[in-house]
Amino acid sequence: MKLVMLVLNQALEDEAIKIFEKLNIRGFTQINNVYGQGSDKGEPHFGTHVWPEINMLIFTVVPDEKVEDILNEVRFLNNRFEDEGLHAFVLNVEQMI
Amino acid sequence: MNLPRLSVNRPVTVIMFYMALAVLGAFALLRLAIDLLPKLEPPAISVVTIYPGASAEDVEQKVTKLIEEQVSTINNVSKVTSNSKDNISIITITFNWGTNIAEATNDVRDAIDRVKRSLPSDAEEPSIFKFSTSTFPVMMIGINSSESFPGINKIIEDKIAQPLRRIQGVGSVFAIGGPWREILIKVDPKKLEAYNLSIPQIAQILNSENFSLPAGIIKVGIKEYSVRVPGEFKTIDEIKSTVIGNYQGALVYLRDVADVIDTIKEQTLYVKINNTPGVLLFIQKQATANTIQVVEELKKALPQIQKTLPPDVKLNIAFDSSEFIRNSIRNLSNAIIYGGIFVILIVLLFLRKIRASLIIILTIPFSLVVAFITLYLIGGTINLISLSSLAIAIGIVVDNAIVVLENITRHIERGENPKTASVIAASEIGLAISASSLTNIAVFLPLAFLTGIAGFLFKELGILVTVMVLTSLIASLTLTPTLSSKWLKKQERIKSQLLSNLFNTSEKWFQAVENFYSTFISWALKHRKTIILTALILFIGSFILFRFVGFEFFPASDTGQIQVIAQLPVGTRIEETIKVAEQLQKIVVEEIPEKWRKYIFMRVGTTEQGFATITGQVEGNNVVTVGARLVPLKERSATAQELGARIREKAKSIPGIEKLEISRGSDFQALLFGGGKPLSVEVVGYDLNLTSQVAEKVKEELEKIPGAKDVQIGRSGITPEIRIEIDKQKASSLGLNTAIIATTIRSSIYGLKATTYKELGDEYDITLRPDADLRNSISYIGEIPVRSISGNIVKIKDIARIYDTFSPIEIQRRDRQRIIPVGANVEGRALSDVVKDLQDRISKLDIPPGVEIRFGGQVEEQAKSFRELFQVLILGIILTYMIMASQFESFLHPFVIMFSIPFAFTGVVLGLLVFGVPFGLTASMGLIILVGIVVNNAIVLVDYINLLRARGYQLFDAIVTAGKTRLRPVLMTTFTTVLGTLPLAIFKGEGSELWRPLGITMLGGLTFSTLITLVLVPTIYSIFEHKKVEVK
Repeated sequence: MKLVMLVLNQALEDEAIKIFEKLNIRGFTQINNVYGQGSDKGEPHFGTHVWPEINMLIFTVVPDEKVEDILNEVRFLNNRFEDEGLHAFVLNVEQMI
Repeated sequence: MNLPRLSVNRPVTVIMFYMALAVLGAFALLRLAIDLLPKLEPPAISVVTIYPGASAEDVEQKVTKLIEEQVSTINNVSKVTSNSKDNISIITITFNWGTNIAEATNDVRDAIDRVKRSLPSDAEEPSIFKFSTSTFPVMMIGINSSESFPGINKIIEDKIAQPLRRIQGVGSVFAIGGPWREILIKVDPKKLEAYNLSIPQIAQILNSENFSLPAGIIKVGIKEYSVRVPGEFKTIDEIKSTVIGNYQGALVYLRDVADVIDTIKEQTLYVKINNTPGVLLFIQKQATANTIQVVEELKKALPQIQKTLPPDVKLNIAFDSSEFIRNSIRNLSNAIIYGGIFVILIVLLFLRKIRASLIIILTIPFSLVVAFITLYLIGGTINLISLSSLAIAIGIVVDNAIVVLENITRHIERGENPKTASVIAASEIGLAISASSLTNIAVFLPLAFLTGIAGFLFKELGILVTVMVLTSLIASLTLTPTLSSKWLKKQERIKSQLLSNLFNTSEKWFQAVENFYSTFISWALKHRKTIILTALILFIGSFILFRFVGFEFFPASDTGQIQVIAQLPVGTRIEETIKVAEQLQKIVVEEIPEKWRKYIFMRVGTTEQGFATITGQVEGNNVVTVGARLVPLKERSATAQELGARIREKAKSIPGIEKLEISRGSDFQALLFGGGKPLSVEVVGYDLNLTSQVAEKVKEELEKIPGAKDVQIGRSGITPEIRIEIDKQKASSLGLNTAIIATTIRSSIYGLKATTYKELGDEYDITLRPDADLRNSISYIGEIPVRSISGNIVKIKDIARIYDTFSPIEIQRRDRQRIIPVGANVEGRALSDVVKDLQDRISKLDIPPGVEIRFGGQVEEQAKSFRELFQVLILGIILTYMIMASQFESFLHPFVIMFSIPFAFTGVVLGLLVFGVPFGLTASMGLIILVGIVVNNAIVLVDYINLLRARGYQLFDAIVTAGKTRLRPVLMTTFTTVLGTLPLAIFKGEGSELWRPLGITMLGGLTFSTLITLVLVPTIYSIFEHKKVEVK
């Protein structure tokens, strides 16, 4: 089992949810209104007057074989919205209740 | 709560909310009354007391003074003016603005109750009218007839005036002119003397002969009979045959000493309508009634009334004050519609997308609809001021939607789906548009706290625009994102080739303008001194130019009515006055071509007991009034003012006219200030001889001042009088007293009403009077015989001294002091300038002690209004600064933005000069509004410069880039506001005198200040920020 964490502009929420629907992934956790900026390029997303964009996080825990499907979709999305600083991080899930 | 998210998720709720607004708005609109201006009827109450037979001075001392003393202690009374003339006392009590008229009426009634016992016993009960006697009638009806003319007054009273009085809102109906039937007994004083008879004696006999009495009931057999002694005159011949005495054994019949004729009363009044004798009916509304509604009801009643009249009696509306109101409202409504069309065109031009434009345009009707709901709730009316506020708002309410839509489009262009983009973009920009709406509100809301005339005029405007701006703010955060999420597509392709070409070409144009602007700004930033210096010169220059702008506190207007009032010397015979009246009417007829006038009337003389004075008219045997009703302004090429000037010029050739005044009916000025003249000087003092001399001097000085027209001394002139002073000792030795002598003299001159003659249920006066040819001579008075108790005949000249003197015809008072007003209309110059000239001249005059000169008229109200407006202006500026300071979290940036305000003034001056319109109340109103609007452009600019700098741009780059990217929204919001008010500035027609200055102020101020802002504000910003960097 892997945990996939998506960091994305809240404007792309609908697109991200579509990925999960497409891949038949039911379970996810979403955290709204998070702020941050990329390591080297792109606009900060601070939710301020100067940098008004706001990010969100989506976590989902999926079987290992589904990870690549998700990453493919995210890559595709990232190509569509190059400047939005879309990221996906994959972590190991050691235990689950 | 996130409004955009909430509304995008619940589109049906949003649509229903706005539909509900539309329905409520339509509901309110149908119920709103129409009026010319907001309710500013001066809270005035008039007390009219008739004291028959008393001279002006008697009326003043015995009636006016007593009532004045009581009423002036009432709360909220701002001034008490009075007018005492022969037979009648008219007191007008003016209350502070906003006083409850019902309460005030009760207070006045109480005050009168307290004083009633001290009034002379033969004075009639004082009557209270809820209108100022100086207000113009709402309607005048001319009545012409042929066969029915001798009995016309009877018909008018029973069949016209009575039904009209029952209409709700009608204050009073007076008929002026026309004959009254009278049975005249023309006695021959010589014959009376010969038969040893006197007029009172004959009157007494006639009264006893014209007598009927029921004498009781007698019962005979099974029947009852009532017994009557019928002695009333049944025919004129019967009157003639009345035995009035016995002379040397023979009976003396009335026909032996007098002619008995069935005739009409001697006319003291001469009225002609469309050049045929007729009657004028004056209809006054109650102060609180709505003119349009009252006139509407009157007009509805007239056809019904016409049916009950004999066919030869024709009713014609000679004056209708609702006509001007309707035309003005229609003209202003058209201006708003055109303004709306211009705004829509601008939106289409800038966006060039139908659906996007529609989203913005939809904010207009919804914001305006809320104005109607508000008007209904605050009890307002549709009037020139409330409509002006719509005209101002129409270009402002789209601004927020434009900014929101622009941001949504930007987001969608980045690929976001329309729904998400709408929510996010609207939320992002929410705070910024709230701040700019607040700066608008900061100037409009304080208007709601104005008092006095300015308050009554602009309160509604302040409230309405505030509500509309707030609605547009809410709409831009709810309706705009909702519609955008539904209607906007990701990549909108323009299908039609033509449209696509059009789009591309216009895009190139926009880009060219943007490039030019960024080049210009780069140049300006490198030549800051030149820019600052130019701006400074422009600003100072505008003060110099301002001196060339005319001044008019409140505009005069063309109501389509002309009244020419000419006064001959006091004491002129009515016959002479009528001759002048005919000449004057001829001039009016010649100067106003037939196709320009609907109606003409003329009036000379006095009404019984001064009815005309009560309805705000001038009357007197020496006064001529010629009035004309014109066709609407569109159908003639000369204004009422121009026609008036021509008539004035021609009238100079008529000899004998002492005063000539041309009034234009119930225009704005009359509404605001009562019938008073704009410039009025009061000569205060008890000694009427002294004050009238001073008044004469003031008049002479005033006439020399350019701009002062129709200079006139108040009606308080003096009239020649013949006094008969009885030698009381001689009289009483002959068994006579003053009462007997005075009654005899009165019956020999004025006549004596003996009794009444009944015919067909109507009663007519039987009056004894010597023939006019006989009595109209001064020597006749001395020969009047008086019969003493012992039966001897004594002549007046033996017991009295007869001499001629002068007495005041009318005594005017203000705040319990005698005054003589000297008034003038002011044309072509600022009232304040004329007043200053006059003050200079008066200070050089030699004013005797006990006489004081005061300035009244519009001068006081003007000073007060401008002081208040200035305070609101300062308040608006301070509030605007505060709002901006909190928005920018900075003390400096709002200060930089404030630099755009002075140039609004420059633009206003230029606008007024170009259009040739004087500065006044409405223009200064526009100036205040500008403060809140002109800063918006600078806010957008400075905000974006700050943003770019925070994002790491260098100062210079930030300014140039911000200028380039924000130019389009700045231009778009400015153009919508400017073009929304453009029709206000250029439309002419009835009522436009009021709103044109407002439109021109907005147009000039906003255009000019935007041009300056776009260059000056970035330049000043760079100077201050540069300094800041250096200090750091």
